[in-house]
Amino acid sequence: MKLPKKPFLVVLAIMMMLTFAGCTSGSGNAGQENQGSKENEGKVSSESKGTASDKPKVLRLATMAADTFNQHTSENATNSDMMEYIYGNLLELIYDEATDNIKFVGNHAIDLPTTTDHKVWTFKLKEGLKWTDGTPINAKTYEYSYKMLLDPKLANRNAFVLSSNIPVVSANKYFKGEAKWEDVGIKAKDDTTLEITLDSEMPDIDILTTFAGGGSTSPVHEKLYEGGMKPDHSGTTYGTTLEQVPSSGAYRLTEWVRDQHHAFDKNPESPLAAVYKPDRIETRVVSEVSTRVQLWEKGEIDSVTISGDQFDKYGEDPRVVYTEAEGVWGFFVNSASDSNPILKNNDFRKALYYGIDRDKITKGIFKTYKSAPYFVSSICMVGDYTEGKRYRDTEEAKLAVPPGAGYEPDKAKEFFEKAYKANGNKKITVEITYFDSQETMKRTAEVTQEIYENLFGKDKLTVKLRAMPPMSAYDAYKEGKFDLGIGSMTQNAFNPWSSMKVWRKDFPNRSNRFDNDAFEALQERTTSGDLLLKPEERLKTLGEMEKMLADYVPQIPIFQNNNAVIYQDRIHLATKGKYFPGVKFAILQADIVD
Amino acid sequence: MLRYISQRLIAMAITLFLIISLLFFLIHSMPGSIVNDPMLPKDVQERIEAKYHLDKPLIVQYGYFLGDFLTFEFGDSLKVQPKVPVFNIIKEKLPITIQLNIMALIFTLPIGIICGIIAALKKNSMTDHGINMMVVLFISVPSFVFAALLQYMVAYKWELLPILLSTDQGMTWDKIKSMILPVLALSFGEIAVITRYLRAELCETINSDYMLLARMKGLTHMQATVRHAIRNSFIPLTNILIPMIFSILSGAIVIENIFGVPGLGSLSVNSINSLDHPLTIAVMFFYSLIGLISILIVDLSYGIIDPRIRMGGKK
Repeated sequence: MKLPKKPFLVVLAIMMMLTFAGCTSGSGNAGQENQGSKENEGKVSSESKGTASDKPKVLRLATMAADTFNQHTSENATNSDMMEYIYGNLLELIYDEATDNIKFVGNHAIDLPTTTDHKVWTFKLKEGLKWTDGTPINAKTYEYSYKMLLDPKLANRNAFVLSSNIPVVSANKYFKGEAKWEDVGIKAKDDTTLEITLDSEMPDIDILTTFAGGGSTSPVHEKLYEGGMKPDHSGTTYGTTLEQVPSSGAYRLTEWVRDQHHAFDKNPESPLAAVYKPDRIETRVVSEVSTRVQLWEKGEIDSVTISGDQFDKYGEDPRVVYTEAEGVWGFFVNSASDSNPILKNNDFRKALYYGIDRDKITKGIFKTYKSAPYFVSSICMVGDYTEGKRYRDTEEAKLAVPPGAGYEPDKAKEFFEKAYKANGNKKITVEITYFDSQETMKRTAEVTQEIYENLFGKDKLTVKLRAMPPMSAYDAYKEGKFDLGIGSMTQNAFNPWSSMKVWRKDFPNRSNRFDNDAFEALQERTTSGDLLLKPEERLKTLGEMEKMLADYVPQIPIFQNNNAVIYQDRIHLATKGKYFPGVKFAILQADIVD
Repeated sequence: MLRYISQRLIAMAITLFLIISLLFFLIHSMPGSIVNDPMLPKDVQERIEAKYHLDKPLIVQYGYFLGDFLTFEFGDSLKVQPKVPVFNIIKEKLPITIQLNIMALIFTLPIGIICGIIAALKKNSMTDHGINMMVVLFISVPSFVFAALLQYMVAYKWELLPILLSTDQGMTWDKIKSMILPVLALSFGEIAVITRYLRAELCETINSDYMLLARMKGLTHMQATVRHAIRNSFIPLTNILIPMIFSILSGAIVIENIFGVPGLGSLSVNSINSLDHPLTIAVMFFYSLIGLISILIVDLSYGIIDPRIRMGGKK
């Protein structure tokens, strides 16, 4: 009997062929990437010859994967960060060292837009603007880009920016297919003049933020956009491969292996080339937190977010800096619940508000988070942005909510006793819904259960826990099938009044059951009514609105998810560790010293 | 034989259709929407849902789906890689997954077979016990634990190999070095499976009458085992070897995440989590097809390896 040699040889040969096939084919972009890489190496080295520095300054980051570079459909934070590198816009938000504050500057526009009535805004564009392939950029490029953004067949996710963030005339109608493009308030008057007409007046800051940075209002490359268009005009492959990602910004994408890495090289033609310091940005996709820390400790990446054990190790390190979250996490309260009517009782909700020891959760579980007995995040700005005034530092904010962490056990017990009495001296039971995917959320729910039951007495209160996937949990909140549920809503750092819409009855994805006509009237007056252009009254009203929330308690606010980030010694942050809305730590303006 | 194969192919097509149809209803009954940003205005949300027919009743959506499915038009990804055709996503991720898994297989097969033979020949000796302990350890400890340990000790502490897979596109020395740890992590479990299976089969075969005859004819224990016992032990081993070869097309989620491998592993989880239904269906279709083909090949291979099975089938 002989061993079956032939089948083995055949299998071995097939396996070798497959291996080599795998080795040679690589990703679809490999060829171009290598080409691009070599091209860049040459470019960077030739650029560096002309400077005093010997080596190109390379910023190395660990990120999540970018899924698209189409600014009209993109929705995740990683994409946004990377699009900031490659897409220029009319304006740019930068850190200004002289004033130690953020500053809007002209990018493709010569300067900030002008207006006489806060309804018609005019941008004057610079001459000679180009994509990195040499294609000119002018006002007509912008008009085409906005026409595509609002195109009814494309139904782009980010179309809301020109109808919801700022009410451009007929933008929403055009998006719904109910108006012609000629009726929309976006007009390229000539090659260097772009005019935006709004339905109602808007403050400067809303216009500036809408047209700054490489987001959805940055221009698209018409030839590439149309080149990737489907025959039925229902979508475009723009921004989905390296060849379909053009650059109009400070950097250009030169390498992209999906789910693995990205590389960006400086675009010397960009009007902002002198503002941003790194010659090259390399980002590696690393989803495991522990792997990121290992890479940072080996000096292979320049920054890492630390938590848990790593924070215990590096918490005291002077290189640690803190982000500020654009939102407040807490337990939404189903204050209209028929299945558990005690939640309708204001004393009970106040008992829960004052009875939660926030520090125990933030310092005990998350370590880097900030206790938040308030509803408006500490990052939100008010007044003239050039003054850098934070809402939480104002008298109005201080009057709206209790001082410190808002933990007042005696007051909480007092409110609870009233509620208990109103409940006919019967034991109260509430259920907390938390997200099942995160261990820290589970611990938050467990600690909250322990705090409440110990404070109010296990004979009087039972807290049950229910784990749910986040998406299902938010669905349950929307449908009113919950008692207390963990969650947060993102806030606009430059327009906290607009963010207050989440507490309105007509907010479509409502997680709370707050119902206050006076609140809604104030919200309307500050976002589209008579208070819109009156900063002082607007600030006062924001305080009043937050006070209304604190009195009603539609959510028990717990924490702001601020993170600790540690940088390598080679990174010298221009902001000296301060965190600013929009620019964050201004990492692209940091000095890289090797 | 041809008739048998065509019958099996028809059955495969029906099974695939049923799997995909069930999958369609299952994933569409999941809660949530592809437009999951609560801050997005309602009219934008409605427009996007209408664009993908998600505002229509499920049965109508199934009608659209069937129309596309029968023309092998699986559409574009909605969320994971928006606007990219779903099979392009799979095609793009396959090479690195195949590379890693073939290397793991090349490493796994000889070691697993050698360990299995040694354990069987040295049955109940210290060597056998040692191999058995290794088998128990490799089977009971999940591969991602090995992956994390290898990464921490070999790459981070001892700095012998890179922490992550190299970004080089060709097969450079750096790339090969960076593949060692994921290959090892992928291999341990499979080595244990082959060793255990082969040892059990060989132990049984070694005690059979024809082995006694072979020894009586003057063959050494090793000669008799290699020439006679191993071939017979390979017949049941086919059950695991062929699916193992086909599994080179599927990735390993956690190991790929740990070593930064842009492979197929996490695609199914990502697509399910983000409610990217076209991609989920395409990935599941791909895996189902591989599974069904490997089952068919296993069944056909019995007759090739052991002609008695084929003859029996002819009755």
